[in-house]
Amino acid sequence: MSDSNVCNGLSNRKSIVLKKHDVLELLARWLILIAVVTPSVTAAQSAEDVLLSSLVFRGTVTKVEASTLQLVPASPNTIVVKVDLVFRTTDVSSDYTNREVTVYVKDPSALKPGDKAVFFTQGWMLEDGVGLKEVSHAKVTATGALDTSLKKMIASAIQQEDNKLFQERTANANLVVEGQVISTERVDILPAAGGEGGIPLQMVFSEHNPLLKKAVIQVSKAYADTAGETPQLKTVTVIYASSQDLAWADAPKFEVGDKGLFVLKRAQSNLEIRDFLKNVNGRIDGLDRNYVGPNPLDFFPKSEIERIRPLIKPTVPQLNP
Amino acid sequence: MRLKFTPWCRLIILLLVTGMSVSLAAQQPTITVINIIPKALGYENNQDSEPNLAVNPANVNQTAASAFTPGVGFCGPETAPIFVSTNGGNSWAANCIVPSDESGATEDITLRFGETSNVLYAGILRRPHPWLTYRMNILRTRNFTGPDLMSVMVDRLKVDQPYIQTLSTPTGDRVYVGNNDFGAGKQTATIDHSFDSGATTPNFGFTRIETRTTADQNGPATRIAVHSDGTAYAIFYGWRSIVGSFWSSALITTDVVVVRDDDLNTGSTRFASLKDVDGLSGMRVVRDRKLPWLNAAQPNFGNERFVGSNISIAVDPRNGKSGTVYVAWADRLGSDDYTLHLRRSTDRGQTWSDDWKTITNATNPSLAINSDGVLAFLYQQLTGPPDRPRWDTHLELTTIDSALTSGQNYVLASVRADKPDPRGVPYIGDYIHIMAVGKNFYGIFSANNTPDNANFPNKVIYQRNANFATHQLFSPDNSVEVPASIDPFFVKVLMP
Repeated sequence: MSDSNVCNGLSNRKSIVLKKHDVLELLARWLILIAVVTPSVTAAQSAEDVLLSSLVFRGTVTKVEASTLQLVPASPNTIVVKVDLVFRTTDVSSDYTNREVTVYVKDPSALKPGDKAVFFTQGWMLEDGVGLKEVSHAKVTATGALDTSLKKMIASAIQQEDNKLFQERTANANLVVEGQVISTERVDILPAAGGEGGIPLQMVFSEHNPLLKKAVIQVSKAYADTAGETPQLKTVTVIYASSQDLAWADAPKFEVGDKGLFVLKRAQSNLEIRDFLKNVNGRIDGLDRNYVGPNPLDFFPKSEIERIRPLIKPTVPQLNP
Repeated sequence: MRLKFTPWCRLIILLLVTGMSVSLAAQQPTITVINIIPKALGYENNQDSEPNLAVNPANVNQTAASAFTPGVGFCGPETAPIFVSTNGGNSWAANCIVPSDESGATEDITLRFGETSNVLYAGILRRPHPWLTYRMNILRTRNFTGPDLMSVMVDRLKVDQPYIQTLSTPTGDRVYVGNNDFGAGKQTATIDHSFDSGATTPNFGFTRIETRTTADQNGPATRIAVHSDGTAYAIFYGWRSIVGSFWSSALITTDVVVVRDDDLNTGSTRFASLKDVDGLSGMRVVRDRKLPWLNAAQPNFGNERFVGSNISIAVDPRNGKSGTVYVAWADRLGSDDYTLHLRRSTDRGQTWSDDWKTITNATNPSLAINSDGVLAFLYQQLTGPPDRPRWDTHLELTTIDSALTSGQNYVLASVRADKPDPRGVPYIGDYIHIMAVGKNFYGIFSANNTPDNANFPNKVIYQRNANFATHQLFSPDNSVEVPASIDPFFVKVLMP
């Protein structure tokens, strides 16, 4: 990645949903700024455009009704743009600066050769050449200060969005703790009707079976709930998918010794676990004392705790601490 | 006696010998193997396993392929790529048109073109899905190189391993999707189908194809073969009992079952045309076979897993030949093997041959028959010593009208099976694919992508930057070395 790129801070957190929220304010500031620099800019862009884009760059239109792609013939909607400066890319492995790319534009009449614009785009087609799909664009006539401020604002906006998603996750959690995994074991699914206790019930043989396990976390710090109460816990037990199958590639998995911050919801209230148990006519002993944290945002290793600790919001009070 | 040859005689002999050589050479197919990762995607080192392929029968220049290749980084939010080609697979692009979630990933995905409609259909396991279940989508696009996402025709939960097949009729495309539907009770082998899949709002239904008591479920794989006369076959594992746990190791007792439908669009009882001696629908090609279950990378099996998904079926496409059908499946004969079997029926699945081929320590069988009656058998076999295992991808071509003897066997790839280290499972995939259009074959498999000509006896073409002398891969701008990984390889077999 070039130094000029603003790397998406979420690149290693694939399952974070990008939404607009607080970015609107920042983008409004940016729009005001570039509107001063170039009156041709309209408010067509929104925060959502930034967050919907995998590549935001300033470029110069070199050809219209043209294509750099072997597979895509030129059409009124395809234009060729030279990338002058990348503001944001989710692709940290490639640098498109100074490359000509094909952009599939919404309005073929909006741009002509020589026009400079900030393009908000999504990846469309990769071959020898690169094809992008326009989310929106804003013509610009000046750069310099605009580049610097836009780059900073996009980075800031994305970081804010990152933080906001985490805060939403913690605010909706039942329990947020720091701690260390001290043991793991398989989750046995027992017959729901009882009376045959101890015999694992037949479960679904699927290559995508989650292979549920329990991790016992020794709690070193618990965070307060919305009532201001701090749970007094020595340990909590978390059910998680241990499968190495592709379907569970980004679900948090735990090993003894793992340290970090856990964002947890009560397993008993997890509709998916309940539905799963209903389907296999089974039960999990102690489910009402267990928690789940299946999202990539539900576990942060120790190295990230200092960064995220100030962002943690009080959690929803729990019924069974 | 000593023979004497005049110059003229020598010349005639030389011409005859040369002519024979040329003639023999002309009988050889032209095989092309292409790594389909595009140059601009050359920085990626994902485990791009479990590939699938679609070739447009109406225009073989149009091809589409899939693998477990995430779109993160390049594709827009919540989209995943397929690979597309408009020049017969000679060059490929990644096209971000599969709906996904923030991971930009596809789970199971298979592709097929309508035979005359130019519509590309897909059966996928869709992300996002609820935490503890699966979500099947059946998708389509009328412009597979365009920028618009594929549209959703079917969206159903609890369904696993959708594997798609199509058939074009005068009234339009039919789409069949074999799957394992955990919403079906204990007889989970299922086929979703539509007879008007080209319509604006297509109608889909499904048929449960298992009729016997199961071990609470069927195996994950249901595969379908169709003939232009309307005959459709499907094959699945009819699980009868299970010993052991899915946690570590289980041994399943299974039948291999073939069902047939003589014309799905006109009958009220679907896929029930083939009865076994017990009077139930579904002919048991073999009964009470053992099938291992080990859902984790197995170092002793080239880092691949055993999940009962290795099964295939093909019907002779020639006019009047829909009664000739071939099946291949994997099971365990001994204590630790994984063995492929190939059999055929010439009476519409009523009776079956013994094993025509039995291949030990192999997986991912895929079958297709061309318009000249040549059977293509694509599979991957583990070879080499235990400390240097290799995945060999074989293509066997056999003319089925002659005696069933061994055909021509081509090794498309022979690569390290212990490198790179697995990143979860599947390693090379639970399936690969081969299909015929006219007399030619088109296939796809995944394998270690180390650029080494010795690994590809029939040669190979890379689009991504590769140095075959130093066996290194490089980023699109050639500035950074990229570690070896698993890539999908397209194979085109042009028959003489």
